[in-house]
Amino acid sequence: MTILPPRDPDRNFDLALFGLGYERRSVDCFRSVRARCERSIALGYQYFQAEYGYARNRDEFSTGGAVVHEVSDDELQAVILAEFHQVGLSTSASILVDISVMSRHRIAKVIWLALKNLPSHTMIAVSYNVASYVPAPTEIHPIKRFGPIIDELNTVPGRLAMPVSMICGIGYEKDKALGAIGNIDPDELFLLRPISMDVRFDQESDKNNGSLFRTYPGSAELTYDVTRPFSTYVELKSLISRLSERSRVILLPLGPKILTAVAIVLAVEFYPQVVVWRVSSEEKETPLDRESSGTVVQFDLRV
Amino acid sequence: MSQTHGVFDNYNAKLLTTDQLVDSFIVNTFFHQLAGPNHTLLIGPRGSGKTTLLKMLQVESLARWNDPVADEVRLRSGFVGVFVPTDIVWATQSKDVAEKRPDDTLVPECLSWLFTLHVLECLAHTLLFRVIRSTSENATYKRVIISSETEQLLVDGLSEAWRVRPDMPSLRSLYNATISASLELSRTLGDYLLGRAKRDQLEAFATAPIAQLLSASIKLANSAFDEPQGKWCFLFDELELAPRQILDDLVVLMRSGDPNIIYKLSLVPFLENLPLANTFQSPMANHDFSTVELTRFDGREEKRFAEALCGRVFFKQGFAEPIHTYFEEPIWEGYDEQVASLMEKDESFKKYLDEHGIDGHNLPQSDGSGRTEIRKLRWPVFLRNYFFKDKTRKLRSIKSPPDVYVGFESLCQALEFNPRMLIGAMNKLVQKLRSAGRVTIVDQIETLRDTEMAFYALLNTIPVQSDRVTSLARFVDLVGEFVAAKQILGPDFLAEPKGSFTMGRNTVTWIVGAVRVGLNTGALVRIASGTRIVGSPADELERFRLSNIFAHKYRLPTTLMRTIGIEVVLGSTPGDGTIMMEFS
Repeated sequence: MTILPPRDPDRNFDLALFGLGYERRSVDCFRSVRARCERSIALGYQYFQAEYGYARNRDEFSTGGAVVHEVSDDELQAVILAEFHQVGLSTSASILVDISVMSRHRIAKVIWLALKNLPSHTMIAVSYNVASYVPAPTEIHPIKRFGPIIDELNTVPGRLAMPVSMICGIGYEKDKALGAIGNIDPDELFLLRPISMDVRFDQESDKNNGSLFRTYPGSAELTYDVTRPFSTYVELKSLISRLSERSRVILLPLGPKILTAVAIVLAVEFYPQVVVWRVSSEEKETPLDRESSGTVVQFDLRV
Repeated sequence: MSQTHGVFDNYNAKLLTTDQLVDSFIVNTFFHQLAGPNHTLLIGPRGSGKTTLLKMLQVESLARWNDPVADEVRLRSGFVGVFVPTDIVWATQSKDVAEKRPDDTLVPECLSWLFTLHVLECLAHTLLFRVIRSTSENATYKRVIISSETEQLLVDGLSEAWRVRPDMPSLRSLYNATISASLELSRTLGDYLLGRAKRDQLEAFATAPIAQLLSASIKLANSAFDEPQGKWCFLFDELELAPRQILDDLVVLMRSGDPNIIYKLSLVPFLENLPLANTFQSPMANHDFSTVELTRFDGREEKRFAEALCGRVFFKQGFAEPIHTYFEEPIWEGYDEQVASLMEKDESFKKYLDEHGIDGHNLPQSDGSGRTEIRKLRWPVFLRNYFFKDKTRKLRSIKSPPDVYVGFESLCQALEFNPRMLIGAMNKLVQKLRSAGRVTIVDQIETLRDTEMAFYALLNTIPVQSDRVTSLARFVDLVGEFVAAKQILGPDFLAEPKGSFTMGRNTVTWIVGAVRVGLNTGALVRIASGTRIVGSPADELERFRLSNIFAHKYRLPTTLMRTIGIEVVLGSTPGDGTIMMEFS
């Protein structure tokens, strides 16, 4: 697998995988690329179907020619593998994965399945539609699930004598990162702060992570540009290369989902030395309707 | 990507080097209790200093420690300490791996082998430290000189027992081989789970039971070092995170293990079903092992400890005077004036005084029993007088906690003398001192609130399995709000408010679960009954209180209050914020 800066943004796709969710931006990528997609698949959910624009988005996918699968996370793998099989992709194939409204677990699953099951040299475009600002949810939900983002990227426990280095992307939800980090109590902590196009995200992130910064004043704070995932990948790879020689590395990509996609690529590359974890309040998360900001971020993977 | 801070401050004993650890260590009574040559359970919530205490007993630390107390401890303990860490990442990964194959008993067995190899790696590391080649090296505490032949015999014996294959007959090579075996087992287990390795490939890594291995290893080492009665002490940190079988085995070994091996096991305060006193083979408290509970400081000792620990933080920043001289202390309104003021506002208080024959306008001034009795009312009088605005008893805003919670000693008490919290708070306050020349009351209150808010934020993310509350933070709210509204600031003046809690065999499951995580995180503090041992059958009464860190948040005293059943508290509380609305 090789990660590449985005190439040929107007190319055609043999297969495109979209997330079907309740957010308005769920269909934006589909609208702009469907004419260039041989086959389009919308991966929907079995919960939150009554929230915001879910039903409207489903209709748009359906009437636009996409095949809609509303499946549980457990059923997702079978659906995706069946689609890969049906399309019968060749080595020169090109697929698109729009991660904008996928859950972090699904982002990990789809990218991992694509990297492990598609023929060599298949090009995978990972696309992310940056959301416009909406205030962060005010409710705080306890963490119900905490651990590897997908089973396939969990590694068997390593050498206990090695310290734990944690690289945590922070979002703008109040104290979410603090709770997650507090659960792990790492030996070394690196906080990744996203630099967004809308300064309000950054301001709210600073405000809602105040307790985090006060609790871990000795952590290293790093920033990354949400719109430059390839650069983020390069810089994180350098950091992980250094850390993995002397510690067990955990990536916890909260915040913009493009970081999750980058983290998955790194986890595949460094497997089994690096693990990616997620925190989840399961279906208790507060739904937020996010509109597209109009900025699309992309990077390519060559299998 | 830009880095705004390049240097990490150490906020956790796990990260300290041995020299840093020894350099910053403050002796306390817990350490003296722990250092004895006997099996010990070390009980404490997070941040209470368990790791520091255990690491100070490892042989490297004792060897490097230059302090008047060090010689005494070295003489008294007499053992070779082997520190064995564990962590939540390893435990979570193990749990996840085991859940992949719930019916395959080989997987948990493998995880136990992995942990056993980890213990052996720690032992090999200690052996490496102990052995020196010649007298030209600094022969210090517990270091031994052995010939190459003896080393070879030792390595041969250990590698056979451990089933590892060192490249050379040296302890260094044995250490490396143990690491390799661990990594190889980890890889093979991964392959097995993915269907790429067979059962017998994995079974080839089987280790002997941990008791047998440690006993054989210590016999070999003692023989090589010509110390037939040499005592070794395995210092297991965060043992609740180790595979359960290992934990249970180690607990039982405190009764029936090798006489040359001592176990010091650190655990969280609440762990269910430990094999203690269940059968005649189970170890018994005070007989087979002692218990050191890090929440049971003696009053004078906690003050001395806090002064020394916090003073060390200030000293490192160039402030060498006794620490309390830097702290602004609150000036209390005279107690007699407070009593008089409350009598004006609070009819129930006036009634209480009348019923007890106390003339509130002429309080006894001598130190006799009359004065003592009225002094006992100090906290409820203070809090009611401070928070009741006037005769209507409308409450003053909670945004600005009263000074009573700060001043050096009170601040330490509010932080429960928790070493991690104290160090964190002092690191902030020393910066204020640098800029303002004094640690002001305002700075102290701000630091207390910051520390509490960060802790509360963490509790917000910890789930509680209940329809009543979703998080541990909300559980704490219910308890704290109840005590404030019903006991401290309620309609009737209560001379002895109830604000510690009991839980027994009939307590409902969700409350037991919430209390368990509360105790283990330090949000709740266990009040030990003296004989009650962690993990013993849950039919005994458990007594606990809220951490003092929440006292200012809910308007509570920081003294121990009388008990009330936790179910009464939760049953009486609406659970929807109603009580807080009464305050606003």
